[in-house]
Amino acid sequence: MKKTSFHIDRETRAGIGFLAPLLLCLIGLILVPVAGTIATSVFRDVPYLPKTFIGAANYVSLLNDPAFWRSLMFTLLFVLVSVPLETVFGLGIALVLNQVFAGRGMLRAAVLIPWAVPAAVSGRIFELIYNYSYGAANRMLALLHMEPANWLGSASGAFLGVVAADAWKTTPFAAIILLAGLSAIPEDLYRQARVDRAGTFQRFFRITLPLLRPVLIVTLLFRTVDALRVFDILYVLTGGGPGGATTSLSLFGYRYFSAGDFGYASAATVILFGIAFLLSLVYLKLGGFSREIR
Amino acid sequence: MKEDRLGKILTVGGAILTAVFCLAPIGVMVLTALAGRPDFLRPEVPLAWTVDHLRAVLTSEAIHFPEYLRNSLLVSAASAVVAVFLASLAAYALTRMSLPGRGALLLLILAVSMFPPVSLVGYLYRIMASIGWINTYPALILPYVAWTLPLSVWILVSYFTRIPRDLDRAGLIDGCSRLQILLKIIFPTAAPGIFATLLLAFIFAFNEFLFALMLTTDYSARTVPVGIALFQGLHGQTPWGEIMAAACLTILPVVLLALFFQRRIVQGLTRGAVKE
Amino acid sequence: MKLVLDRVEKRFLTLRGTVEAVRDISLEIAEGEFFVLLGPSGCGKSTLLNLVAGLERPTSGEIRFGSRPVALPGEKIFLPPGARNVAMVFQSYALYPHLSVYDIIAFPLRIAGGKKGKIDDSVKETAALLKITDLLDRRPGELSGGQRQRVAMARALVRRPEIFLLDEPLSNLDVQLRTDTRAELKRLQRELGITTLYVTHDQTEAMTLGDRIALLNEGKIVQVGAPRELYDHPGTPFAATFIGSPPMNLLPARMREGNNGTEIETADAVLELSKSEMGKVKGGGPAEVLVGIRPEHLFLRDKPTGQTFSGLIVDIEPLGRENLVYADIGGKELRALIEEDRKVGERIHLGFDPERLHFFPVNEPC
Repeated sequence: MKKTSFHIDRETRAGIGFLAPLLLCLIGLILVPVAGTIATSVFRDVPYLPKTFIGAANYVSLLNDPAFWRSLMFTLLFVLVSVPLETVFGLGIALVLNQVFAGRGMLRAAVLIPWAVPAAVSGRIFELIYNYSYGAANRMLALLHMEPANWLGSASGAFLGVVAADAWKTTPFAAIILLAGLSAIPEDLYRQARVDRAGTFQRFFRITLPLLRPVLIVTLLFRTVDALRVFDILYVLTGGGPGGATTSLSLFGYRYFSAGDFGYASAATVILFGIAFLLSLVYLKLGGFSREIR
Repeated sequence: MKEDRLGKILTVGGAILTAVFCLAPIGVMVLTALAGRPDFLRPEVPLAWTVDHLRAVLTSEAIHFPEYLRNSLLVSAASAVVAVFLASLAAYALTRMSLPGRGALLLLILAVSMFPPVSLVGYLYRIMASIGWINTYPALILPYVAWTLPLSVWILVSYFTRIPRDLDRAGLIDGCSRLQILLKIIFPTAAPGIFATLLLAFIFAFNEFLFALMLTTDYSARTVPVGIALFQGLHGQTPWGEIMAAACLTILPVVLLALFFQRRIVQGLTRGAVKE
Repeated sequence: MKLVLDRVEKRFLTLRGTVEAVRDISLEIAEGEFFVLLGPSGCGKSTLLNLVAGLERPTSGEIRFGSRPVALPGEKIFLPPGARNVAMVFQSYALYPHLSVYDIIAFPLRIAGGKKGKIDDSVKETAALLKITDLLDRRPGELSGGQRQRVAMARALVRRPEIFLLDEPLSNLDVQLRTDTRAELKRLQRELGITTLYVTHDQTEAMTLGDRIALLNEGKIVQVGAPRELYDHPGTPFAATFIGSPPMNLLPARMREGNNGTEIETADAVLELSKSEMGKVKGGGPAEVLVGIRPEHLFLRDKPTGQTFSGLIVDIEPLGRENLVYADIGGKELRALIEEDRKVGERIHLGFDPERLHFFPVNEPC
């Protein structure tokens, strides 16, 4: 039942009071800094020099900076490769976990572990795994009688390495969300499909996938937004190398922030922010969120 | 029946693959922490077990691991408690009270959680530096609270929505104020949901990296993920045994939480994402 | 405590426009009266109850407890529920799941800040009144539906409220329990003498419990009166069909003056009523009418007369004591409660006492 009142009554005042701390936090600690960053992006703001307004100059420099372009390309490629990979893997794991078998509870718990590990820690673990002389990755290659690879020493090896390490850490999240979506599909639909003589694959493509669509979109949204701002694993695992090959926009921005070039760094992160914002809008539109919330 | 057998093989194979995928890196970490040498995987290296790395990490003055861990636990716990309390106030107002623009507000909260942290960390650094808070607990707790709030609000909104509104009405009839209803009726009734949200907020804060990297400078406030990321040997050689020992100890609290409260965490994570 | 509603209105703004949930309702409920709000779902009866409780604010109009206004939007007077000394029993019972029965009953007293010993006395006394003393340590989850219902009543009554509000309190009980609880509720209300407002969609409940009933439809009062009055003298076709089970038969009819009195032409029957008989009939009047007769007022006749409906039996529902017969009367279906056994397909003649006929103007809004 909807409630309406035409003046601000005691109830609404209490409601605003309840919301005030949240709004203060979000405004003071997130919206103000973001606005500040956007404002800073039109200034030359470096140590020892007076802060001066330079309009879009930072953005122009960025667009002429090959390092920025490489970082933008890496970020987009990373999203493009890792998000579908993690979602498909996650769906696979979710399908397995949705079956009934002995030890399912334990496996569900095991899936949660990579998710719970800090990305910085998983970065260190994978750094060890990729170690040229005694890492587990090259041990495996040796067992397959293949030459050891210099994983983090080459651009393509580092990219693969980063994608794999990120997939380890984040696929479980996709799996958990998708599993919840799977278990929300009524069992009766599958019974009916069996009665209608639909095979395993037909059931998957005609029932599971269409009904999973909203959850898939939510998973993709969360994963895309997260992959766009990838930072921790790169900072720890590759440091953005070799030769800047795995420098994400977040890392790019961070480097300039820590070097003290706040204007340039701000401009770079504003572009990242814009991309994240646009992509979220696309997903929200796809998922029909605004409708659901109402 | 051929199809059933295929399904079984796929399930068992998938389960084994999943287990290996999830646990193998953990195995590498644990073995390296306990092995005498990091290159123990080589066939020619004899396997020798030791607890020296663990002991070093826990006792060595130079490593500061216990301080990092303490900072992490305190900062994460404080952020989680504050964030969940504020979020439950907001979630109560959003689910129970007549507020205009409730849907828009929920969407705004969701949008805020999608901001890349790097786009505010620089400015935040300056704010914190100007009030002299760099390398203190509040410098981390405040952004962590803000950062975990949207997630907490979304999860709690989905929990609170399921509590019948008749309970609130009964509370009003019994003479409660709105705050009393929240504290005396909704909190106890939604205790499992509040607990799940606390766990998630704690884990999110515990695992956070970028803010901690920017806003701390040494062991008096630095958290353990940053500590481990910056863990370098004194003599050039990377001390893998000690790093992995530290990693083991670091993930112990979060992994134990995840295993003990698996159901709650999964439920919390999926609330809001999946409509049942 | 007397309860007065004076031209109370409640409008909700929704995305699809304004919904008038309660329209211009004026009622006076006497001290100690058991008053029932009856109507189909969505008729505004629960909103009206919430308005009295203080859970909703009226858009306009006035609500008074005795002489004290508790809601008067014109003068910005609005007492929240806690300040009204009302108690309410919810359809869902709304028992706090985390508390014991004892703590649930004590809850309103503790919020009001009573003394511990006094609270204990009140809780025990009320529990004894409702025969739930042995349940005081349990949690709601461990109780049966009937027990929960009693706990909800106890929580409501422990404060000795001035006005007792019940929102479909019996609809979650099974049939047998509902009948028993109904009787007990009536007894309890008489004993305590608390002014009671009771919401239900079940006309049997309304008839058995209420001193008076207000029949509501689409946010408006259709008719107010004692149960018997509503049954004997329904004011509208809606009242006629909503009260009484199975519902009253309504047939469109044409009235005209015949040789020996009034002729009523309906379906394929022509009923002849003499002048004296016509005098006893309520209503009458225009040529086009709806003529109503309750199924329990039809009886079997051996052969057609000037006062029978004749037709074929299309269906029979045996109810045990009697049979509900559906007869096809010239394309119109007529329900009749008869004791005799008949077979589907048989031709029957149904007679009636002209005094039992009701006439309603055609096209009258409910």
